[in-house]
Parts: sequence; structure tokens; C-alpha cells
Amino acid sequence: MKNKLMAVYFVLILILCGCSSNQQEQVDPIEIHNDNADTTSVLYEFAHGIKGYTGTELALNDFNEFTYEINNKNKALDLGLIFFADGYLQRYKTEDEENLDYLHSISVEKSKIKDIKIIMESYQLDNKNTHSFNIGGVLNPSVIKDLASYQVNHSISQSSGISVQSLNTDFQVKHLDKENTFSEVPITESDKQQLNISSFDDLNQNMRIKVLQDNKEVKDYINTEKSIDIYVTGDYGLYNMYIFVDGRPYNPEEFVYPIESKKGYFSIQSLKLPVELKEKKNLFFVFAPKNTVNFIEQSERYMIGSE
Amino acid sequence: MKKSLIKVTIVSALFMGLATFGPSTVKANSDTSSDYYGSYYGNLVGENQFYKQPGSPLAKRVDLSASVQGSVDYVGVKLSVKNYSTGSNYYSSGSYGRAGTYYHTDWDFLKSENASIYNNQCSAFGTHEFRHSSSGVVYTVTYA
Repeated sequence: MKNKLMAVYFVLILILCGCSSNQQEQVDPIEIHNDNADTTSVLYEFAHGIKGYTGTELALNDFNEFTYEINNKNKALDLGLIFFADGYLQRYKTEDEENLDYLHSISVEKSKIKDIKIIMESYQLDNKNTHSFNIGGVLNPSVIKDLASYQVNHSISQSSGISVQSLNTDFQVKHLDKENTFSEVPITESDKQQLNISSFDDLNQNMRIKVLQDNKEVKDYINTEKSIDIYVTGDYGLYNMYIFVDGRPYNPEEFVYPIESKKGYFSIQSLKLPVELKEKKNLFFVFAPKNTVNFIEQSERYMIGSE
Repeated sequence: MKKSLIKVTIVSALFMGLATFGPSTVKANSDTSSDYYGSYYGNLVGENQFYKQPGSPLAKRVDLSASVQGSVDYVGVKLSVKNYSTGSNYYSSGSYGRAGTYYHTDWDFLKSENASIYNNQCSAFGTHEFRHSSSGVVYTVTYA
């Protein structure tokens, strides 16, 4: 009798378990397992920003000399610092490198914090009193020899935009005037599907970028001898577009293109690149906002040439 | 009688636990985290998870997340799926916002047009990032 009671009790509980399991399968029809546990690994992990900056408004003079901090949480890396003011790439030097350049590569050892003094001597700015500063870091800004090695190299991370006053400054202020050469086309329903959006409101402050050659979207390899069409859309924003080659800005005084993103339209910048780029390895496009609302944006990163 | 019932109850509870919290809820892959990103933002946690069918090497879904304490200008993730031997790009996507935590799930990134990567040949590169007056980023890779 005891055994019979126990058996009935056991079966009853098993039935209850079965009901619970079935309910769960309805919620998530894909069964999952952990055969691949521990195969995710960290490639790089770091934080960066102006040391001691807490989000307050700054004056242009504050950028005369300041300390930038890179807090590396993982393996050793190089970070190529780039500074944009009003969307224009700025030249600077560091305490270690006396030459003025648009990008200095800062090496940071494994799990170390690196403080580096940044020195700016002049600016390229729009002719107004309030300016936007956007700072980015290009991961490992050196030549990547093949596609398999590209991984996350040359990815740009950025600190947020900083609003800067330029009153009472002694710095040399240069206004750079570049003519707009981009065109616009309305976004079609087919484009919306490709962008994976149902409404233009799904585009927030981030820009969507695609690069075409011969009317086909460029994938992995880009031919620098052919004309290139860069399509951008997103929430409204004014940017300057730059070309980065082998992880660094390519002749940014000459190759800078003002471009506008807005909902419902693709802005298209067509360009022909110099012949000498054929001998280089890596290329991507960078979009620097002329405000503190939008972010520094980056196209896919391409190998120059063919497979 | 009482002792026997207690034993049966324990065994049954174990069965129930296995049925409810067994393989169907185990996360296939995770993860990375860090403990400090400046005095204001606390933790930035980056996580990739491949979900698979039992007995099959085929990835069916990948989840990414980025989490940071407090509201920031930007928190988001980017996913880039590549052939792990050639580095060829198959798929990229991302999600972002201004909330403290952001998740991104891709159910169907392995579509038939990319059938060549069904044979266990892909790797997912994740970017888990926040941006504010300073910023933090974790780059990860997960192999399917």
C-alpha cells in the first residue's frame, strides 16, 4: 500500500513537471545548449576621455594643453587619438611626439592607465563663438595586411561631444570653407527594408552608411581606381567626411567633404581617389559631426584591391 | 512512511528542477565584464551569447548586450559576423540608445544566402560601448 501511494505521488509530480516543460517550449521554441561555453573572449577593453572632465562647458583655451587618459582593462593596444572641432580634424602634438599631426598613436600596456599630455597650437573652426569638440580613438592604427586580420582593428570609439566657447582666445582661428558636392535621393520602400526600418523615426542620432561601386554595395575589398559612391542617411546632422587609409587620416586638408544626413533621403558623395592609394592596404570613411548631438561615424573597413 | 515521502519529494523536486532549469535555459556563451570606467558610470558589461540547437553545430541566434549604470549619451552594441578563416563579412547590425542597458538580438543572421557559413565557419565580433564625457568599450569575439 505504501509503495502504491508513493508511486502515485511520484507520477503526479512527474506529470506536473511535464506541464511546466511544455509551457516553456511554447515561450522559446529554440532549444539551446552550452557546447560552446567559454569560446567568447575579450579582444580589447578600455575607457578613455579627458582626464578629470565631468561634462561641464569648456573654453577653447582649455584645449591649449590638457591631459587625456586611456584606462586599459585588458591586453596591450595602440589608440590613435583624433580631435575634431566643428567637424574639422585638428593637428596636435603630445608630450612624447613634438611633431604636429592629425593622429598620434598612443601605446598602452596591458592593464595600465596611460595619461598623455595633448598640446594644440591652432584650430580650424567655423566662424562662430560656440564650437563642438568630438574626440575619437582609432584602435591599432597601423597597416592591416589581410582581411582575416582586420577583425575589430581600426574601429573608432569616441567620447561624447563637448561644447566649447571661443571668447577671449589668443589662438589662431582659421575658417575652412569647403563647397558641398553631395546630392540627394529619396529613400524608397525597398531601401527601408534593406535598412531594416519600418519608419524613418527608427533612425535615431546614428548615421547609416553604405558604399557602392558599379551600383553594387562594396563588401570587403574596395577598388580605389574606380569611382566610389558613399550613401548616408539618419536623423538630421551636418558632418565632414574624411578618408582614412591604413588606419590614419589621408590628406585631410584636401580630402574633406561636407555632407548632411536627414530622414527620408540618402545623401550621396561621389569621389575618385588618388592613384597612389592603390599601393595602400586599408580604407574607410569617417564622418565628423559639426555639433555635440551626433557622433563620429565610420563606414565599414575595407581592404584596398581585390580578393 | 514520513521518511519515504520526504525522500520521494526531494527526488521529485530534483526532477522538476532539471525539467524547468535544464539545458533549454542554459546560455551557450558568455561573457566579459569590467569593474570600473570612471567615477560616474560604474560597470560596463559586454556579453555575446550564441544559442544553438542540441546536437547541431549551427548557430541560430546571437545576443549582445552592453550595460552601464545610469543614463549616458550613448550605450549600444554592434555585431559583425565574419568567416573566421577568410575574414569576409557576412552580416553586421547594431542597437543603441541612451538608457543604461541595451540589448541586441539577431535571430536570423545565418540566412540561406550565407549558407557557406553554416558549416561552423563563423565568428561574431561584438562592440559593447558607452559614450559620455568619457567612454568605455569592450571588443569581443565569439566562435560559432
